[in-house]
Amino acid sequence: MTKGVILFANNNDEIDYVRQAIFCAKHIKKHLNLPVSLITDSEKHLQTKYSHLIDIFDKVISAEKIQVYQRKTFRDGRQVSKKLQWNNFNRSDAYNLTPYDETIVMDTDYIVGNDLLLNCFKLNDDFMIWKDSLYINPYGKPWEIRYVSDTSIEMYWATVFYFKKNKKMETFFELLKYIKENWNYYRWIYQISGRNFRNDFAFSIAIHIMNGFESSTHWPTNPPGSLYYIFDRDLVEDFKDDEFTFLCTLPNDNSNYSVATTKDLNVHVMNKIGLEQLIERQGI
Amino acid sequence: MIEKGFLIYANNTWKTNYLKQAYALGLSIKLFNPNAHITVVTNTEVSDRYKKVLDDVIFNKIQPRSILNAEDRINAFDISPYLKTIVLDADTLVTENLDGWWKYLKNYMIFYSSAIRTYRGVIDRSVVYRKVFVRNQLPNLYNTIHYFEKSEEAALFYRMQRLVIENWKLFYDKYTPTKKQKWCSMDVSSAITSKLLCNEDEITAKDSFINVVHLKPKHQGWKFDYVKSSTAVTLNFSKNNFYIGNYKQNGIIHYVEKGFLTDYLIKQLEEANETVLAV
Repeated sequence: MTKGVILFANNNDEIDYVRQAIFCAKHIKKHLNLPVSLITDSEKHLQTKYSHLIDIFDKVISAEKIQVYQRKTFRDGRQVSKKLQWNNFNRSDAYNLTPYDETIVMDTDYIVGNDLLLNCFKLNDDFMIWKDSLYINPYGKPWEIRYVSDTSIEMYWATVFYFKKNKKMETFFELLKYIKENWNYYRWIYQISGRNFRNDFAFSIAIHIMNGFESSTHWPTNPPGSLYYIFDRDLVEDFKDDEFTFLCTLPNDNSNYSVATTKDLNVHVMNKIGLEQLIERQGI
Repeated sequence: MIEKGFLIYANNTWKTNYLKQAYALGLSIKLFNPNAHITVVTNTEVSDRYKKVLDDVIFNKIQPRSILNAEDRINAFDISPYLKTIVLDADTLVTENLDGWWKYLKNYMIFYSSAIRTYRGVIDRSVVYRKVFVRNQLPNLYNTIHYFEKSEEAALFYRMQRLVIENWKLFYDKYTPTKKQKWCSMDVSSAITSKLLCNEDEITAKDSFINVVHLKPKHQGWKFDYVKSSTAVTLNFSKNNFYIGNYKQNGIIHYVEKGFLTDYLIKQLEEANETVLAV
């Protein structure tokens, strides 16, 4: 059984996801020592700008560049916000695109700080994805996300997930594609007010359907460890020796931040602009 | 005497057609429990269409004097034609076969549910609608579904309950001094009765699977303060399953708001029942 990690990186005008993928892959190599494959519509960019770093990837799989109309607001703390193109459409192709029998799919803004995820390969589950998550901001309780929307189903985070190739997972990914193709229908049915296609929501809907429209604790299961995250309203202050320092937004306070540090934790850094700047400072 | 059955109170008021609700409930019971026997107590003439589902009708031409019709519901124990009775509120729907429930309830002479679920299947421990119970340390009993077997214990309990309800102001003054309900409530009255008889542990179990999906909005864990649940989620019936907000339901749904019960839903339940009968 082959094992590995796949990353998706589709650049937009401002965010260099390919560079993020390189940064992400470095930490995967360091802590998990697994082969990492990159699926990208920006292969030329990778070859011209990062030819000296391309070896970090086991395989580079070229994805077709598609015209993307959806835009998303990317923030860097409270002050900076940009509306940028958001191309997140090929996650549902993971089953067909992965070169591995057992795969961990990861967002490029998920920075690995320990080897906990290796335990995925020791368990018998065919699908692991986090339903429970932990917002690092100690004052962030009001912003925590539990449901796809206030009245809708439980939220699963497509940030990181593990799957084993089998018939059930093939069906799952086929269903995901169907939901993506009929997104406007499903977002209404599941009380999602935003128009943008979001993988977290599509995964949550597909899981809900596959579980017979009921909550389940049996399938899928949480991966080992916990999903820690910061939002893009929080600032990425520093990162050294697997220690992150964040400045976390306070509710009802627009002028102060609260400092939070993490050491040896896997963290989903949703502030992509801040992460870009950090990677720049790290010299990639 | 019939061994077991369902008893439903459906005394219509100028505001609410409880008989229609009881009919829908009867359809849902029969769909999953074709051999179930149902008795309805009502102040309204029952049509032949309804009688196809409601096996026995106890006609009692009274006008409810209180919003919850407690003065009539105290007769449940005496009026029930069954040895073992499940009493259900009219504004409920059954979503599954209840053989397992009957089996479980055989362990009790009286049983009240003391927990509720959200439509997402989460046990709700919020006390927002239960301040009277918490502040006065009353057993947290729900009358929405309760059970009794004709027995000395049950007779004593319901005699005491009658005393409480007939003198509710007096009992509420004494047993709910810190926060008081301004009307006669079956839930509060049952709780006071249980407290007087010190029998909470014998008539309920906090972790029992016998509970209901309670659709009052503040139970649902929503961040937005919806006044009505029916403005936030829909109740659908498809292929013999009930869905609320895309969640498949199980057990018993206490939908509370009459807006959930549409004529279309009743028509669907009638059609589903016809299919079952044809098979």
